[in-house]
Amino acid sequence: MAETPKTYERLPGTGQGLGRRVQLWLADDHLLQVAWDAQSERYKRFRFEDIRVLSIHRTIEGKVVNGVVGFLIFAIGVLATAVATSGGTSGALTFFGLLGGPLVIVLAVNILLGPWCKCRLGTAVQTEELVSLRRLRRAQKVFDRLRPRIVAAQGELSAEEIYSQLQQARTVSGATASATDQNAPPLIDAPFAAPVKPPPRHYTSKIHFIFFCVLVADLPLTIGDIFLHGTLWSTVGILFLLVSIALGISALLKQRNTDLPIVLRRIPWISLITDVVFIAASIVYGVTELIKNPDAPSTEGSFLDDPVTLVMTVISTGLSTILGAMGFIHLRRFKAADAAANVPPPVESQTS
Amino acid sequence: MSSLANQFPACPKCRAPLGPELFNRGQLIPCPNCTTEIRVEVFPAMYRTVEKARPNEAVMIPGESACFYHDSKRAVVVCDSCGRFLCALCDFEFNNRHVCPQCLESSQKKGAMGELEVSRKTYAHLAFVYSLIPLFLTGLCAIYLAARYWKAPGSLVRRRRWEMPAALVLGILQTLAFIFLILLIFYH
Repeated sequence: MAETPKTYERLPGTGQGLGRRVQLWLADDHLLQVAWDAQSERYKRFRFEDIRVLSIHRTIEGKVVNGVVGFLIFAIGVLATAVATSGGTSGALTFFGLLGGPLVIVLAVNILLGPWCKCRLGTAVQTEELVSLRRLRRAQKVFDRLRPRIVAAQGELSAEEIYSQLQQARTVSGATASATDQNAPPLIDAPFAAPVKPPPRHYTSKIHFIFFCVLVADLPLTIGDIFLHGTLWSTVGILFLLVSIALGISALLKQRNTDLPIVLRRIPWISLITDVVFIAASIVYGVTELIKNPDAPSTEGSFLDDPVTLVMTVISTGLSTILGAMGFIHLRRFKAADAAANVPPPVESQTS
Repeated sequence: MSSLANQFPACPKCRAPLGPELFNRGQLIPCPNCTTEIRVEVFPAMYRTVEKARPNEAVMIPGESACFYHDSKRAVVVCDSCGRFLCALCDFEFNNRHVCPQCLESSQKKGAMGELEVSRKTYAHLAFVYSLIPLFLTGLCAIYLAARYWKAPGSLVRRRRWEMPAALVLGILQTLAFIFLILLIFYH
């Protein structure tokens, strides 16, 4: 077997993908990214002299994982408590323990390893995502180890030098622009001061209006459900909820990068979050009740009979109505302000 | 502005250009545009101008040395590997060596230039994995791989010299165990 000289030093972090693992290895003059599949290794080399940028940005993936796993643990805990209080067998409790135990470990490990991040490495010809660096703390440590080596290969770059490089680039670019395009806009003197963001579009869609109509219409529908309880009303209620969620998502998509006031932009978010919370709470409550009284028949009467369901329905409907009404008021104000801004100035009548 | 914008790193999340005061801080700082916590390290290579390729000049004087691959082009360098004359187009400078496309390709195939190697089969690891899967034929596969690729280079970064001998031993043991089992079934 051929001798492989040991020249690489392992950097912390392993990225997992579909049938492959990715790690970073450090050599004297380059960084090596190795991806393993079942039978081979694939290499990407980044010479320290060629690395232009290293970047980290914090992501919310860790919080999302914590939220989802935390909710599952909470739901399992509620079910286990319900089983225990209703005199459940030890087998059932063991089942819940086996179900929730690994989730608790996952949550604890995720919290201990810290927040998630994404790291990128840029050269003149490519920008590579360093998939092995998914944890912020670990990525910071790796960057702290990489930076002196890159600086040793290239030298340090201070803020003043970056600014002078900017001035040079602007001079060259400005000269080129003035030579090629006489109508080109002048270069701004301090481009670093204000980050460039595309200007917001003017909001013209009707989706928010329809969404607020649906939110307000929840009140008569719930009143009808209370007094005329039946399968038809329940089906209409479920369809109404689904339509409401679909409209909320559409409103969120439509309001992106528009001049819609912040109050109107928040209403779809609040509505969707409350919908999700109430659906989750209803499921947990329903399953708990089912475990407590497995022989009890499904409620055929009005939900006025069940205080918990009644309270949840009243809160949900009240919130929907308030949000819908608020939406109408603010949408009307927005439209009025928009109409006032677009009124053409009165033409001066010629008086002799 | 696009060429100018390319000169400066943007926020990795929102793509808004960042000011020099946000670079090389050694810690996480919020992006002024999206408030995401970021850390951006910028190095002098960012502002290094990319060297343009030399122009390919035609042979002007009769009898002047021409490129081996292009008769009409003037030779500017000699291949360090095969000694052929090369024009500017055929000259590949790599690790301070000048090589022709053919030598570059053959070096890559042979693995002579380590820096050009982009993938490598890890036969030792494959053989070891096969030797651990008890499916009779996998043992034979492990023996074959160990015998056939005994001298093949292993992983570039992980030196596991024990994998190939271990795969051979385990493969033989697995095969013998299966043969013994078959004999036991048929002659018992």
